[in-house]
Amino acid sequence: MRTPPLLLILMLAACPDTADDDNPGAKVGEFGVGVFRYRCTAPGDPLCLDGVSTAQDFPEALARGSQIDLEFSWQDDEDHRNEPLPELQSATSDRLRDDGARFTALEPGFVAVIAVTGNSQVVELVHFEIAEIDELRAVPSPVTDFPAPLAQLDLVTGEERALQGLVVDIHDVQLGGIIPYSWASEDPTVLEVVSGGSTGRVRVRAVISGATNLVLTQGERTLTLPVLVEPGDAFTTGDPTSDGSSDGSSGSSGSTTADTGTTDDTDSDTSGGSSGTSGGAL
Amino acid sequence: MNRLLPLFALLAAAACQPRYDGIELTLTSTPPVPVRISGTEIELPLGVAVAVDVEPQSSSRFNYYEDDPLELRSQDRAILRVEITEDPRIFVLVAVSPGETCVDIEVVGDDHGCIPATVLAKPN
Repeated sequence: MRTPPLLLILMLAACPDTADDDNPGAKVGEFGVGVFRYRCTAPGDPLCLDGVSTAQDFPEALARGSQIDLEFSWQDDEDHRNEPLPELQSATSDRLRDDGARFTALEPGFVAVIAVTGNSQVVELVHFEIAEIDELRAVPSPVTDFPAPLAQLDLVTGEERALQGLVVDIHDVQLGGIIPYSWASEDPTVLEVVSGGSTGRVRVRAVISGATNLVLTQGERTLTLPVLVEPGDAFTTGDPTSDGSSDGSSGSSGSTTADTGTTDDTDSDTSGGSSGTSGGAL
Repeated sequence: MNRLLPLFALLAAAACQPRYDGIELTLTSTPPVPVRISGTEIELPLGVAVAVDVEPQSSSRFNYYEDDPLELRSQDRAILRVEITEDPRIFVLVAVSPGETCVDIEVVGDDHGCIPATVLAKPN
């Protein structure tokens, strides 16, 4: 017997609807009445796709030293119509300093954020974990669920590639939070930074045949990616006019190699680079 | 005999009231690390906040009413904050900085001592 379409529609409409289903970026509070979302405010944030206002997935942990913009909403707007949104407060400024809706993760550990109404009632609470950054990585952009870290870039002349910088903790968990990144080519005559050099997401272009390094810097950490450019007739991967957000996984003959990259916890010499070496995402 | 009637009335009224016999704290939220919450001890790691349901106990056969006024107050909010919620029997304890303090208990306007509270720098 065929299921009538109307019946199917009714069955779908009867399914429970939660914020988690609507948006995996929603972290439901422990009282179950409010939802916290990670706002995308920094260009090139690895948790955020271009043009979206909140992250697709709420981060499991925040990077120490990072900042986060939180958005609160009620699970059921009808129950709170015309009510002002509660103020979000950190449990302790020793660990998570709050400045309005922006929080700065200061030290590792768990920390609560409470939502407080104008009459001083706590209406919701949530806990976040803050973790030390263990490793800086470069991965193809856009980021997939389990991105393999790049260790080398093989390109052909004229080819463009979008890359994403991100940080993980000691358990290999990608950390959230706004942190400054910068990218620099040690030899811009071979590889040039097209856009996003001072954000987490960069677009580079192979100019002429040769070898150089692409250096990703995050705070005191640096990651040096060897780059080899060979002659070829490449087509551009992704939209060259975008801010390094298009798919960099394809190319005529270029390839990427994982797991042999060089990371360094100290500042490296990027004096040979010419673009995108200053500033941060903040 | 008639002079003693008001006294009898007072005694009878007192006998029909709950007699404070401690307080019971029940955790109603799910902290990410272990905490110790009871009517005689509060121990939270720094940064953690928990919701607790507070129930005054009575040793008489008359229990407290749900709407009997109940207040918990931290003696040092720089160490531990005690915040109210929409439910007058549910409070949120917030571990602000490492140290020791005490949470005062007031039930139906009467003080009933305090619960020792410790905020740990790290989870146990």
